[in-house]
Amino acid sequence: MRWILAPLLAFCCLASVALARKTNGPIYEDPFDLGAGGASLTRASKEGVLFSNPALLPLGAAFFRWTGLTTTLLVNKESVDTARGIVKSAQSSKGSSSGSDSKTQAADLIDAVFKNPIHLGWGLALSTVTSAFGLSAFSRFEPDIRAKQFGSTGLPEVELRTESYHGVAVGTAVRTPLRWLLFGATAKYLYAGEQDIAAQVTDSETIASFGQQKFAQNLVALNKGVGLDLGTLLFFQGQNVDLTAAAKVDDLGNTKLSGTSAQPKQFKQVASAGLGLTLHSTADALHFAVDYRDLSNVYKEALFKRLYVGTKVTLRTYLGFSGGYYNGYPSMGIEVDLLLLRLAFTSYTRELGDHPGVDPRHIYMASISAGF
Amino acid sequence: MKQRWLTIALLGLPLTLLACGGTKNVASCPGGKTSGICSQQTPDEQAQAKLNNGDYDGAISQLNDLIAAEPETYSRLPILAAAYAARAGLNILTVAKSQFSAGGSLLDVFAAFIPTPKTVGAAAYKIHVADMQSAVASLKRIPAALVATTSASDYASSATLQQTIYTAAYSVMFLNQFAVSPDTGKLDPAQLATMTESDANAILTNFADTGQIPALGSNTAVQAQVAATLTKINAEPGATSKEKIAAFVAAQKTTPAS
Repeated sequence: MRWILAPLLAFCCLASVALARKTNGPIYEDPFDLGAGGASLTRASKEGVLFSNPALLPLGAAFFRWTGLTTTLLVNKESVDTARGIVKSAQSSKGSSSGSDSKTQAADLIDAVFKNPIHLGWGLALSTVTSAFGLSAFSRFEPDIRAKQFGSTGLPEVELRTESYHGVAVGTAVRTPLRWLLFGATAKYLYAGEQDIAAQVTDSETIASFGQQKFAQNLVALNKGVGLDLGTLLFFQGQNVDLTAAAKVDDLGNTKLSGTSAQPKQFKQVASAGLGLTLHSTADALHFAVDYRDLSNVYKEALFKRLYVGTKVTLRTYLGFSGGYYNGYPSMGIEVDLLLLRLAFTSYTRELGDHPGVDPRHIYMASISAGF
Repeated sequence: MKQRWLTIALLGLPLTLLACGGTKNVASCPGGKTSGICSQQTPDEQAQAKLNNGDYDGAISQLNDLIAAEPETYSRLPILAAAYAARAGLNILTVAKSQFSAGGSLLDVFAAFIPTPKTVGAAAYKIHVADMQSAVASLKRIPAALVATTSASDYASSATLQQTIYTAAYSVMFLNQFAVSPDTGKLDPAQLATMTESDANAILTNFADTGQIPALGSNTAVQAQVAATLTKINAEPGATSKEKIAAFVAAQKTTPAS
C-alpha cells in the first residue's frame, strides 16, 4: 500500500505566495475594539489608541489612562469544533481497543482536519498611556493551517500561514489652539514575518527541503523596520452628543522592512478616514463609528474588507459591550473592568480570501489585562 | 427611571444590530451583485467551493463552462479531472484514508478506494467508469510541454501524479466492469463471458498507458505496480488478450493478496 500512499501523504511543493496579511488595519488592535467591528479611528481602547489613531490620546479627563499588561489568546470556532469532535470520538470508543475503531477515528480525524481550518494566536502588550503620550511593547503571533481536499491543482493541499508582528510603539498627540482639532503621531520599531507555504501532494524533490534547517529558519524569520503613523481628529463636544471625524495615514512613505523573511518587505502607506457619534450621560456612553480604510485602495481589496462599522456601549466605566461588522461579518465583544483587572471576550470573523465566504475564520478571543 | 431606560436602550442597540446580522456576510448580496459593498466570489472560486463541498455535478458544469470560454487556460483541467474522478467515486483524500486498510496487489489496493459493481450497481458502475475516463481525458487535453518534467507550470507535477493515479484507477475499473460480480463484489472469471477481445485489448492498452506518463518520482511507484500487473497478465497462458486476462483473474481469485 505504501507505494501509492508515499507520494500522496508526502506534502511538498513549497509555494511562497506574496499575499500580504496585514493590509489596511492597525498592526495591533485591542480586543474590545475588534468586537466593535474594528472601527477604532474615532474611539479606541487602552494601548489600541497608539495603533488606531494617536490623535485620540488627549480625549478624556484623566492624565494617566492605562498602564498595564494585556494578554490575549485566540482560537477559531472550527478548531474548537474539531477538538470537541476528537474528544467525543475518544470518549465514545473508550474501553474499546479494536482496530476498526482506531481506523474510524483516524479517518474521522483526517476528515475533520480537511474540513476545518485551524487558526490560533496570542497577543501581548505592555503599555503605558497618558493623555499626552503613550508607549507600548507588543507582540502578536497567529499561525493558520488550512487543508483542502481539493487544492488549487485538484490534489489535497495544506497551507500554512503565519502572521508574526512584534515591536515598540511610541505615540504623542497635541491639541491645537482650536480645541476641537487634535494631531497625533506614532513611531513604530517593528519586527514582522508573514509566511505563506502551500504544500501539495506532488514533487518529491521538494520534500527534502522540509527537513533542512533553512526551512525552519524561514518559518520564524522576521524582517525589521521603522514606521510612522500620523493621525488627526476633529472633536466637537456637546452636553450629551459628541461628534468626531478622523483621518489617519498609516506607514507614512511606506514602512520598509528588511531581513531574512520572505514577507513582508514593506507596509504600504494607507490613508483612512472615520466618523464617530457618541451619545452620553455622565456615566454611560454609546458610540457609533464607521471607518473607511485604505481610501486609495493601495492593497486592491474589496470594499467589504475596507469598511469597518461598529458600536460601543460603556456603562458606569465598569462594563462595556461592543458590536459591529468586521470584514462584513458580525462581531461582538464584552469587557468587564474589575479595577486592577480587565477581562474581555470578543468574537469576530476575518475573511482571509478576497470575497465573502472564500476563506473565513470565526475567531474567539479572550483577553486579560492587569493594570490601572 | 429615565436613566434606566437610557441604559437599556444603549445596551439594546448593538445587540439588535448583531441579532439582525446573524453570521452572514453583509457583502454577500443576492443576485450576483458586485457593485457597492456587494462582492461575489469569482466563478473559479465558486467551482472550487462546490468541489470542496461535494457538489461534483455543479463543479463539473461550472468548470466545463469556464474551459469552453477560455480553452487555453489549462490550469482548470486538473481541477476538472479531480471533479470527474471524485464523481467516479475516487478522490485522493479517500486514498489517504485507505492507508488504514491492508492490501498488496494493484487490484486489492484500488479496491479499497474505488466503487465496485456491487456497491453501486452494474448500470451505475458504467457511469462511474465513464467519469473516470473523462478524468483521464481532461488531463490529456493539457499540452505535453506543460506537464513535462521541465515545465515551470504550477500544476505540472500534480497533473502528472493525477494522470498516473486516474489512469491506473480507470484501468482497474474498466477491468472490474467485466471481472467483478455485481452480486458478490468479488473477482469472478465467469463474468468475463461478456468481455470481447476488443475490450480485452482496451484493458491492456489502458494499463500500458500508465507507463507512458512521464516519470516524476512521485508517480514511479504507482507506475511500477501497474507495469508489474501488465507483465503478470502478459505472462499468463493464452493465445488472445481475453484468455490472458481470464487466466490472470482466475489467478487473482485463487491467490491471496500479497
